[in-house]
Amino acid sequence: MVGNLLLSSIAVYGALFGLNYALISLGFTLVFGVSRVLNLAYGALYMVTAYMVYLFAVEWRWEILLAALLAIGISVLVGAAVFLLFSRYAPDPMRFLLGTLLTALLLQYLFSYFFQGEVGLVIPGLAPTQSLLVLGVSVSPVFLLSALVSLALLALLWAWIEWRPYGRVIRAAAEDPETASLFGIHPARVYLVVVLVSSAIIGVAAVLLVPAGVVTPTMWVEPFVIAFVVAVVGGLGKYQWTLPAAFLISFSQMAVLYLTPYDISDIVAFVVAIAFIVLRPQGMGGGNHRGL
Amino acid sequence: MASDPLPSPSLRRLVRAAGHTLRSRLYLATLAVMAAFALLADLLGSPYFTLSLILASLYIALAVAWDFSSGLTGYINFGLPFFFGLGAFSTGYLVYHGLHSIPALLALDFGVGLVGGGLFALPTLRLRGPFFTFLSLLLPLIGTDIVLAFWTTFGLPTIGYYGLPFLAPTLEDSLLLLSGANALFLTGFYLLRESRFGLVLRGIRDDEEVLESQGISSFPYKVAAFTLSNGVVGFAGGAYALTTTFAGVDAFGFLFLLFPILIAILGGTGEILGAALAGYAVILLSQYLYLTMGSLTLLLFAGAAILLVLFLPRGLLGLLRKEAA
Repeated sequence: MVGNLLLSSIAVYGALFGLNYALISLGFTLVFGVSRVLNLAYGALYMVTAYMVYLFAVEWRWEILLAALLAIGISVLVGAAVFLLFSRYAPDPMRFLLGTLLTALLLQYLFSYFFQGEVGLVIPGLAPTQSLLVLGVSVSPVFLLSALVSLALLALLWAWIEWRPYGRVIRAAAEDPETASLFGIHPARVYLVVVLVSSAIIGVAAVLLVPAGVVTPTMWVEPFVIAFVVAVVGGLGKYQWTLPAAFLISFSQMAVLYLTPYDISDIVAFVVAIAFIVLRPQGMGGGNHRGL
Repeated sequence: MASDPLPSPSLRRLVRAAGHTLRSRLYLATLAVMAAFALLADLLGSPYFTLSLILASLYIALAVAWDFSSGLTGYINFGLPFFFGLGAFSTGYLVYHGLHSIPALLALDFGVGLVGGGLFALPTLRLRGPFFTFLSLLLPLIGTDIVLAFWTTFGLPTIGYYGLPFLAPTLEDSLLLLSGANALFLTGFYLLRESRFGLVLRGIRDDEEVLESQGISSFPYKVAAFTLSNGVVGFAGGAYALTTTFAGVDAFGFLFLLFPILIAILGGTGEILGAALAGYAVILLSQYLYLTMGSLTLLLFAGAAILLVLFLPRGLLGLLRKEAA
């Protein structure tokens, strides 16, 4: 009986966390796959959205849906501004990396300064608060809703990129920007569109997931690490492998969490990422070709 | 007839070249500035000023080490806080296990940094692309997580080691010790930069593939540079723990990445000496601003670092060299 509950917990939480990790990482992988730049300020957009929701919904008492939409809009603007600034003035990949990491730190200090002394800030969620039972395991509706949204966004994004005409444009710009530009495609414009989409995705993730935790100036680190680890395990830029990679990490974490006495989920994720970087740097997706 | 102390012609050439390098005006000026600050602290006797200079010395050690490896090769190492924390925690561990000799502790911290840096560099520097930088960014987070998950296993009384001995009997002595160590590191790194070794490191930054096509394997040079650099970072971490008498998870903080990078870029990426001079300017200014502006200081410095990356990536010394050219 206890064994069954243990397995159910690993299965349910493994699946839920996997879907949520996929939601967090999708934008990061997509941007790299298309533009080949690594945006280390990605996690900071999660923090920007969370603080904006707090400001609008808690301090200014706006409707949560309106606050969430505006916060996501601000995340998109900040994401686009960071991308445009660094791709214009620091296009060299290493300077881009350095600059975007420094931007994440700048945003951390900015929120730390403006919300100083305020610890444990919480924001309202879109999901109901009463827990549900799934396979005998108690689950927060927050995680359930975000997992469903993750599935929907994964499907939508896949359909957009694989089936829609603009998806073909994105794939062309990702695969060979020079040849694509000969056919009238503006790669820089395509990159910007992808950055806007990815910033909106991480904004959605923040709106859905942050209500389960607290808003702090260092909260950007966790989503960034998840996005980074999933991207490495799936294969940098291979957005189709986001979900399998996210599941590999989440199920490994849950197995260690429930089968050992240690709470070392983050360390497990790091170990999986390091193993992939050292043994299979091309990730689960394999191949070294450019493009999605 | 007296025997020649350097019988080998190649060794003689090497010593002559080193002598020539060390007669450079900028190198001598940098050492003079370091000595002047140590003397000034002694004359003023202000604990805040001396502590600020101690902090500057620690950041200079980090910045020079970062500049030597990342600045020269172009491989960005975000793992500085990890090796810094490793040095700090090694000090705590060793003190709690009965070692109280300061020179032995600092030497062991240097050794821990060397071994840790080597173990990290060996598998990761084989890969091209962003993987090294990526993994290095994970290191400080792993360090914090390991300490938080296993602090009882390490026998820590709390999440950190407290009550560690002081680096030296007085603050002025601590500053003198750190300035001496920095002079040593600076000399070593500067000599290496100006040698064939440094030339290869700069070649890696300019075009690694072209370098390798000349029959030079870049891998051992990269590993040696990052190992050596992290040895100095480990030393600085140990010295920090002995200055604050505490080794805690704060040693893995991104602050120990932000300031060294800012200092190294301001001084001129890959210039080594510029980092030492910029270190005093940045840290003394930040300490002064902190008194008046509080936490806004960090915001200003993070903004300044971004502006440098965007518009002055080779720093002030790089700009001066360009103007002179």
